[in-house]
Amino acid sequence: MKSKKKSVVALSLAVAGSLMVAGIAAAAYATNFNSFPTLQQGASGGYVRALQANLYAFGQAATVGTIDGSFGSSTKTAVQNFQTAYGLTSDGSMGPASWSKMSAYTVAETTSTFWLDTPSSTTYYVDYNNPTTSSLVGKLKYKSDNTIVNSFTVY
Amino acid sequence: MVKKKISIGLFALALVGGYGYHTYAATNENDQQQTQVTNIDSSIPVANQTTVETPLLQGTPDPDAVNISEVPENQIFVPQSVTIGNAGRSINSTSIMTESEIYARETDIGLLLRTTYTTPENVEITFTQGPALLDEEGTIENLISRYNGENIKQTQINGHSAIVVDGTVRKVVHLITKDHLFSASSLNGTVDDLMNVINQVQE
Repeated sequence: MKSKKKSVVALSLAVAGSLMVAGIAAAAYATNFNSFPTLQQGASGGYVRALQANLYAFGQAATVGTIDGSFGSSTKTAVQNFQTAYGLTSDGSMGPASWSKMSAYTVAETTSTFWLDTPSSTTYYVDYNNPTTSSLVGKLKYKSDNTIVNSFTVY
Repeated sequence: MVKKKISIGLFALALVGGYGYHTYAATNENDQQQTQVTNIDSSIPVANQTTVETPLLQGTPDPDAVNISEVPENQIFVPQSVTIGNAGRSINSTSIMTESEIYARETDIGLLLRTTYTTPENVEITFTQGPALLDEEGTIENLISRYNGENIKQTQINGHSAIVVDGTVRKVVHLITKDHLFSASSLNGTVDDLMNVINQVQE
């Protein structure tokens, strides 16, 4: 009876271990914005900060204003401007098609870092870095001297 | 009576203090707003976008940045005096591209170097040197997955694996060596322009 119990415990541990390994294997660095969630007016947090910084790099700094992580009317207008300029449906909602368009301007620097640079801004670009597979941080920088305009944590 | 006077005094102090704080806070908020308002991009027009030129604020120095002169020469593989290739352009093949100062950073993952080459035709090519964080197979997998859906080709350059991304909006060539990942990318150049630069990497 005791050995049966031991076997069950051992089996449970093995299954749990396998699941953990599978989870670790499944975790990966963010390499662009394609996995980012759909964002709409009223959203807030790190993904919105990333969106606002990206919009700076797409020439929408004046419209976005402060990078505050709040998806308000200014950010919505900036998203609409971006969508119109890049031939997307101008609904002000940041969905998969819009994130994919932004991703098309990213370049890998290493397997854990990438940057966003567009011809729409002569002033700003954004560097992204995955310190771990479960975190992503960004830095909005000036193209002229690589100094930092805004640092933010996406997640 | 004394207690009453003290109470009135405290009340008055609270009123003045509150007003003072409110004024201070409002001023600070205004300062922030002004900062943001003047922090406007100078943009290239895209579609209906208008260009706005305004003074820039000073950014914060990158804490990871290091002076390139402090980086040992044997760690720098950024091509110097890059010649302009013949491919696709009617430019004298002996011309040298202008090169921006190398932006060097010492980060948790190692040394990162970045520079921009510009041709006389104003084609800009950004070149980066970073450490190899994965083995060759893992790096190739990582790169292929991130450019999923784009026109990607795997090839060999000077005996090393390379990934060529002929994207619709920017071109990229990655060179994967045992110790490094080199990248050349451009928003207005061709894949041939990038191959020309990558071919001049000597690790």
